[in-house]
Amino acid sequence: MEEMADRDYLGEFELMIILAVANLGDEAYGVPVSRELEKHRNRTVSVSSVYAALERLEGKGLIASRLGEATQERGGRAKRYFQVTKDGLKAVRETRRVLTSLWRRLPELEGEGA
Amino acid sequence: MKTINPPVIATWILEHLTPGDRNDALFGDLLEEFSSGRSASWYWRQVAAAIAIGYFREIRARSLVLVFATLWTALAPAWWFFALWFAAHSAGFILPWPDSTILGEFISVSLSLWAGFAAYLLLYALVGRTLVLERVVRGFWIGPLTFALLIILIKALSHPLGFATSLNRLTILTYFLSLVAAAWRVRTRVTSQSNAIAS
Repeated sequence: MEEMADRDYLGEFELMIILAVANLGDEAYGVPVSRELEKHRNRTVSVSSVYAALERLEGKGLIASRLGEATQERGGRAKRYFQVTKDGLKAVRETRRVLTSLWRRLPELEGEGA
Repeated sequence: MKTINPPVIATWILEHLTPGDRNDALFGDLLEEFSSGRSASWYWRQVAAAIAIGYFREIRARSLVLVFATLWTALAPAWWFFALWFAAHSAGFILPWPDSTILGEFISVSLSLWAGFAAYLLLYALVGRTLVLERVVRGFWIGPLTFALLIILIKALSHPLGFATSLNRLTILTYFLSLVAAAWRVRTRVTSQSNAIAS
């Protein structure tokens, strides 16, 4: 139990954000991350809520960011690219392990696939 | 791709009314999405969400200020009695014009606000936060100044009201808001960009 207290498991939205960033690779900035979430959730996403989650994850050291190029269609404003850190990947794996373990304990859901 | 610009008023609101640090990356993302075919109503919704989330984060980040100001304001009866005592013993502040005792009352309230602000700074430092001298100095002036301005505003909008001559709800609320105003900007940043990717 003491070991669990040291861990910081990811919330649902945070987990989705990290997975989207990981899937997008070098193209992970606000717009593609939001579109990726909208595509898989089938609902609109507030770009500012994505940024709020990204900055929260950055504060935890699970995501890192760098400024990229500015384009005319962005009003000359630079893109901010995100990347999952080693600690971020570790947190994702740990969250998946716990969730998978819990899902498998539900008899009626066995065999549905991950 | 669209060539028209997004709603001008929405953009102005986004750039001027969003609390916290200016997020150029977010502003650029919204423009990029709008240029790629999103509607004006989508843009307005995004602006509203950005402002709502911004204020929520600001308030959550400064919950210590609100909790402390609430607790310190609960001591209002104590500073009110102090104000009465100060007024009774501050004959030197009674000057030859009407309502001159207001000066003594204002000084006593200011002392109380400064004591509260100092206690907040001590608490802030004890929880491991860094104090910036410029913001601390500004906070010391903002408290009494806010109190004076609000009282003047209340007096202008309603019946005459002394600084601390009556411990009513408006005076207590004014005291609370003044303490919050003093301590609000002591915290330096809400967002974090400390984990830059090594290029």
